[in-house]
Amino acid sequence: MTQTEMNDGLKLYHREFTSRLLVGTALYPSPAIMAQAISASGSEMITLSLRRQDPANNQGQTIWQHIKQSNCTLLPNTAGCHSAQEAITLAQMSREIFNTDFIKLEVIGDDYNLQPDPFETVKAAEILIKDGFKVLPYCTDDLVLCQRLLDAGCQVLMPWGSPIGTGKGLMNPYNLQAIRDRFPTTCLIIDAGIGKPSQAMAAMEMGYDGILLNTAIAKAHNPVQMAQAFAQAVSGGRQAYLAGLMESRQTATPSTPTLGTPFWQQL
Amino acid sequence: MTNNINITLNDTRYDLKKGSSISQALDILNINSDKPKLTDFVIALNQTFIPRSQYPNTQLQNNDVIELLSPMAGG
Repeated sequence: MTQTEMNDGLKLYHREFTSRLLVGTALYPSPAIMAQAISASGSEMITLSLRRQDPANNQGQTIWQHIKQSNCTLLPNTAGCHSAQEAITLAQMSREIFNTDFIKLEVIGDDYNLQPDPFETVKAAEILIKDGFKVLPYCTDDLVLCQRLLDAGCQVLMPWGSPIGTGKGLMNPYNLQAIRDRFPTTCLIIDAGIGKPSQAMAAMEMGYDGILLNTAIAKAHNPVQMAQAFAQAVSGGRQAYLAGLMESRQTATPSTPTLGTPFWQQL
Repeated sequence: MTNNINITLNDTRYDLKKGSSISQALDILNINSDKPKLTDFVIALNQTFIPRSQYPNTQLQNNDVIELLSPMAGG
């Protein structure tokens, strides 16, 4: 860990984390590989969910045991909910069983591209914040929606890069940059759509505070190695942002000094 | 007049004695009989969260719908 990383934590409400990479726990080839990938990612916060389970099929229990052993902070999600009321109920259930106020608020508005429902998301956020939850809302890259979520009391926003599981990266860099510029002090995390470490790095270079992803690691040929790659990309992107990127220019400028150029008389 | 009520738990219908609480229902259904017991779960009754502390005092009604959920992987 570099000195920069030690002094540059990710603050999510009352908690501070060293790693700026949050990872999901789904879709891995096995619970053991999931555990290894989480460890390799360096992530300190991981997402999980609540589902009906057949007691005879104990895979959910096995995953849960690995998740508990990871010692990561848990970020339960409300995936699959289509209304504010469903999300609120699931958040309350999650708070009891996972013993955390953190909730990744997901209210889906369209099943084709899993686009979040902005209206129900804001409605749920308002109620959950009043009920003491630390809401991390999954939202689209809509500036006004982000403002409404901040008005509701959210201290963290999680706009999508692109639809969940697509791996298409930062679909609309202009919108994402506008959100970053408009809310310079808000903790912003790109959630969903990241497929490559370079895309995560680009978001971090843009000034985003963190990356939440799942599929890109879980569905890699080697999830553990990919988790390491994402950890390095997120860290590198953050350092690049802090270092300050040069401004791009339209015309070429020599980097080697022109003074003392040999053979110039012959030109 | 029947002394039973019919409830639905995770899409499966069960007959219980009238006046059964959630705790009694879970005991009877034994989450579930010969199958391994789920230890980590939470319940919503008719889409309303019920804290564990209220299981003994929450009386079930005919046609109640229980969602019983457990930790699972998620993104």
